[in-house]
Amino acid sequence: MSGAFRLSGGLVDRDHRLRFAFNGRQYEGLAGDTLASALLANGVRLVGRSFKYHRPRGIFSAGSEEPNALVTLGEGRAALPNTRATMVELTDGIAAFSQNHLGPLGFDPLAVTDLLAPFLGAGFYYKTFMWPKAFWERVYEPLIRKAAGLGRLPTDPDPRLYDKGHLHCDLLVVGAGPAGLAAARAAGAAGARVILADEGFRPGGRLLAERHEIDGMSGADWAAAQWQALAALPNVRLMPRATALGLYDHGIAGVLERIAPEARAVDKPAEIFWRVRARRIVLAAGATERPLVFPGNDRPGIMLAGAVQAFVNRWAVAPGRRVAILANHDGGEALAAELAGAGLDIAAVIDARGDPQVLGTKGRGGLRSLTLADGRRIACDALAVSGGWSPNLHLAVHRDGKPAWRDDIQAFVPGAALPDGLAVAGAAGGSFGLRDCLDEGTRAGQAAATACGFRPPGAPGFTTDNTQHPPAPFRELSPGQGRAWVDLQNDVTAKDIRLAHREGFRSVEHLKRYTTLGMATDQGKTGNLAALALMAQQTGRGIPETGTTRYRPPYVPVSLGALAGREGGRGFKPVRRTPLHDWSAARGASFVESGLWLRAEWFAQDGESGWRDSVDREVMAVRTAVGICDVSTLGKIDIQGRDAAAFVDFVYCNGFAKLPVGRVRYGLMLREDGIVMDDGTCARLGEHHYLMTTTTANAAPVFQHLEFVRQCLRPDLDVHLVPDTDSWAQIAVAGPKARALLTRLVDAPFDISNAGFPFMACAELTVCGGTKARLFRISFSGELGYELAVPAPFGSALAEAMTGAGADLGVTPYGVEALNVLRIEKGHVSGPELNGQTAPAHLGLRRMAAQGKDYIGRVLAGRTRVDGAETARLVGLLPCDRAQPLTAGAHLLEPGAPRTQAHDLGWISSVAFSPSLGHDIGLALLNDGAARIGTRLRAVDAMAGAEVEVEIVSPHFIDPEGARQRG
Amino acid sequence: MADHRLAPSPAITAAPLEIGETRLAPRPSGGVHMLVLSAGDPAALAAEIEAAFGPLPAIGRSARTRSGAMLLRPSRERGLCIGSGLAPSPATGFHSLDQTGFWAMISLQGSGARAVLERHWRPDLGDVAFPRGAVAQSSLSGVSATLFREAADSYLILVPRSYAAWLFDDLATTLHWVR
Amino acid sequence: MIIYHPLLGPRDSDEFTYLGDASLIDRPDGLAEDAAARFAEYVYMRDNPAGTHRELWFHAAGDQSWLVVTRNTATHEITHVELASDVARARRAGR
Repeated sequence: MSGAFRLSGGLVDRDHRLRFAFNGRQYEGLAGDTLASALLANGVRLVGRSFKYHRPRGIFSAGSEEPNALVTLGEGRAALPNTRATMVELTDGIAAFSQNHLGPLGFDPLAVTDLLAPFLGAGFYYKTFMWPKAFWERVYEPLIRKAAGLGRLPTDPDPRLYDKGHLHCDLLVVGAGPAGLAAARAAGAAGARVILADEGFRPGGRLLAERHEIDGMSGADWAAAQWQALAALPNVRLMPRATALGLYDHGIAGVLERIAPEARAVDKPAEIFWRVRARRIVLAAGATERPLVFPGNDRPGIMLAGAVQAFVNRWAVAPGRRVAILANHDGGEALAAELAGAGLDIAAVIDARGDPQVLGTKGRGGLRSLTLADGRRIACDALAVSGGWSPNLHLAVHRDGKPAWRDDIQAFVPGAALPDGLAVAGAAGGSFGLRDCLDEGTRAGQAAATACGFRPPGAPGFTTDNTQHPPAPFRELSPGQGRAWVDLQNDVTAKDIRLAHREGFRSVEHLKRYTTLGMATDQGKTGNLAALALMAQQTGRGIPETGTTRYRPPYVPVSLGALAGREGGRGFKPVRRTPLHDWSAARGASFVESGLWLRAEWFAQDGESGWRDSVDREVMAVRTAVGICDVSTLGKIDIQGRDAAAFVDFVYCNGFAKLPVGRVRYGLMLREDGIVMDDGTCARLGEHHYLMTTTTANAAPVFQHLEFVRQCLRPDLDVHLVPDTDSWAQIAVAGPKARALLTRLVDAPFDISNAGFPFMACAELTVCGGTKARLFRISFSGELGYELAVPAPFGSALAEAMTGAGADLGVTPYGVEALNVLRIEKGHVSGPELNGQTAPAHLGLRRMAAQGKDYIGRVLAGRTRVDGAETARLVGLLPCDRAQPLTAGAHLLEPGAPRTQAHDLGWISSVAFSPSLGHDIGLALLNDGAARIGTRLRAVDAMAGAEVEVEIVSPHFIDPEGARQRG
Repeated sequence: MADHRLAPSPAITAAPLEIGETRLAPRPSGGVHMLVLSAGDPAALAAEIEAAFGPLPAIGRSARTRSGAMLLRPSRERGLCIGSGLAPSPATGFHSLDQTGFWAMISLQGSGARAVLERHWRPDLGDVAFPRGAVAQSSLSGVSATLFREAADSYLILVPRSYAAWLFDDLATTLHWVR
Repeated sequence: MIIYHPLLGPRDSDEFTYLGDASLIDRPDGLAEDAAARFAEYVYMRDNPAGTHRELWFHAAGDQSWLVVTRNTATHEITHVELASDVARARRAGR
């Protein structure tokens, strides 16, 4: 025996004892227990304090709908607050702690709020905490913050791992009770791909809690036999411990799987969130029992009758020594007989449909007695309450369906308009007789298999009972005779509902939000119906007209970690590495994230104290010797076809139709609204063969745009595009000694002289004794510059060959920081200038726009702007006091102008320290920029509160004539 | 003048991983060519391909070429030829692009291969939707990849080289987790 | 959401990127006299129905084809999917 309240029988393993702790005290349970059943077996009835009034609370249900027994499972980083004890599969060594009390569970000083209850009714916070205003942030907020919330979150990162996955099937069956098992058997026998998901760790649903016989076997044995038969079918996937959280578009369901205790490991996921795409779905999720509303109905020991049944039959646990039964249907006597047969002492069976009604209960730390209206006091320590059952129709109405009311069972069932492909079977649809559930499940499984093109074999009927106990219409017992709870978790009483009605919050959606009923972690599974029945009585409208609040996923709370899967930390997004990554790392590169790419920022050398030292050195190496830079990340698109020239000419604003073979040209690509989308180059490698480059960030968007032009705007053109970014490792070689270096690498007879390979030439050649390559003479830095591309696998080797061959030339690897300084010194626009607001005219590139052809962006590029920003122009800036730094993002104002938007003339887009000049330089977009060259303005950084006087100059700081790159 | 030849580096330097009967390994590339199949007359295109290499597979299927290479057809306008090089031939219905360096290949074989893939691959992996010889392009953990079912329990994953190291690592994690 | 690609079968909408109204296929002539007004209409003016909508999706993670999808914006029901290039060719032939 483990626990003084353990009975004989049940579906627990007495050979397998487990130790666990609750609030620091050690107990013993059995394999097959939940934490709740093990606590009850040990006589622990007080498990927490209620949210608002800190009332003592006990275990209320035996399943997913549990509102009271919320514990924190585990300690430290791994603690899981608000865990339903009824859903915790007991394992050896677990530690659980009760929540929401100051000091020990048995004596919570915050229970004083219970005495203040008359002032803390529904919506009290809308009427309080208003005065004095000074108290809002200093007193009320900290107090409320401390008192609010249920459970405490660990402040360290969650150590658990999670994963996600995708499954496809013909039929998803939700629930492995009698209807679900029958449906899965029927469809599985037909050969359909079936997934059977059940929230529990043992199949059978209510068969495990109730005493039924099916075809001569006990219900539990029958369920186990079905499960075994299904496990043997290769076309069936069984998913125990898997909760279907929601139904989404097009037959997609979200299923959260919890890993079985025996398979858990600290380095493996604890939960997997599956996206299941099912052609058909059978919802066999069963039903949830409702309590009754009467004064004092929240004491520990008061439970749902079906839960009492489950604890006695499945877990062999007596919830108390003397049990009373209160029901509004015929099932009370039968339950009494069943419990008595298990050895319980029955105190009374009270029919809630008649008189005398229950007047109240006594027993603060746990139920001791209940009182009837005729004065009789019935001593009992457990009370089994039943107000009928509500079908678990949630998944059927997640997609905007409306439930329908059935008077005969006093419950909502799925409406007539079900989502495509979804059928309901069993109690989830309002059928409570076991034979009906089994038959409906079989028919639903057969229908699903047939719809998917299979031929299900005939199935025999089942020999079993079809007992049902329809409940009477809702009636509050002894109204006004004391506080009667409707929503246990958020401490909402019948009085609160009457208050909401008086104050005008009468629609069910307003009622919910004003009283907060149904908004706790249990989503009102046990309380919602009583609440809307009470409101219906107040308004006189009736339950169907009152309706329900909207049902939304998830069906039960789900951890954010499970929704994220492994997409946290390093897994957040893929990482792209260039072909030169390892080579760069070996040379001491520091990497920066550029979208998905890792790019070398700079290459620190011994003796350098900070990044500026490295970057300044790299810039000067390019300006005076030769530098090499990994530019593999730039997008490359291979364009071929008879109409390739016309296509390229259509997507760029500048002319490309006459670009000769063997030449490359800078291309400016606009959006249709005239704004610059991207800039890059396009090389003509052959008559019908072009290679386009894009900026790193825009490789995918530009390709998408080009395919849009090709497929949707110009399907008449014979042209094909192949993304080729990853094919090539590409290295920029820049500086006065660039040609000298390359001469040592290119294979004869390639003529790399200035005459043989002039500025803006391109060619296919071989390097280093036979490796195929492409060479482009383009310059982002403004120095004599080339870009040499080899197939990606040879990138590292080429970089190594370059540093080896160029050692005496002073060859220096440089990163994106130096690259950026060099281009700013030359006045080349880049990302900060191509920010989605600038058209060619703003960038001083109006001349590039061709006149005689239609192209994307032609028409709207020239339109006048309303706000005057149309006159913005790219300019250069120098700090008047050369020693002062410039700040990118600073705004430009006239001297003496107030710092308001009306006087804003523009802003600084790019800033760098120029080692070539010895001071900061900047690029800016400035209204009427050309006319202001030579004048002085103020650069205002309002966030830092700083101002710098600046001189407006041409944006081309180095070699404005461009002689170096053409030499 | 250079006399230092360039040696190629592999896209994936991680070692193969074998857990239970399932093996995850980089597959060295012997040559990959992208075939750009110009839409137009399907019959004429099929005839041209047949003359040049062998049968043109249906969309989503694969076929062996006469020279022993494997020709994958993931979409209407694309073919991927894995294996031998392709001699340029005068053709109007297609042209080819040497993308040997573009694609990294990862092999996933064994009884656990499906269990690994279903954590990453969105489309249906079932035997009806994705039988032996099937090929499809989709997202593998957010990376656009081509998946080829070489045999009942054997899959070949083709992914752009820059993603390969990260993806191999991600698949290796999954192989640890599902076994 | 599932989109039935005409050539590749059912695919998750996550494999696609969405562009907008399929009327973007009807680009006006950039050299015409009234181009300014027509392009302002083409780029900036849109119907926004709560109901059937023809829209452009790009199969970015798949075969990089553009599709015209007829979708009900209120219920997400997709009634028709076709290759955008087929739609574009038919429109040009119709002009």
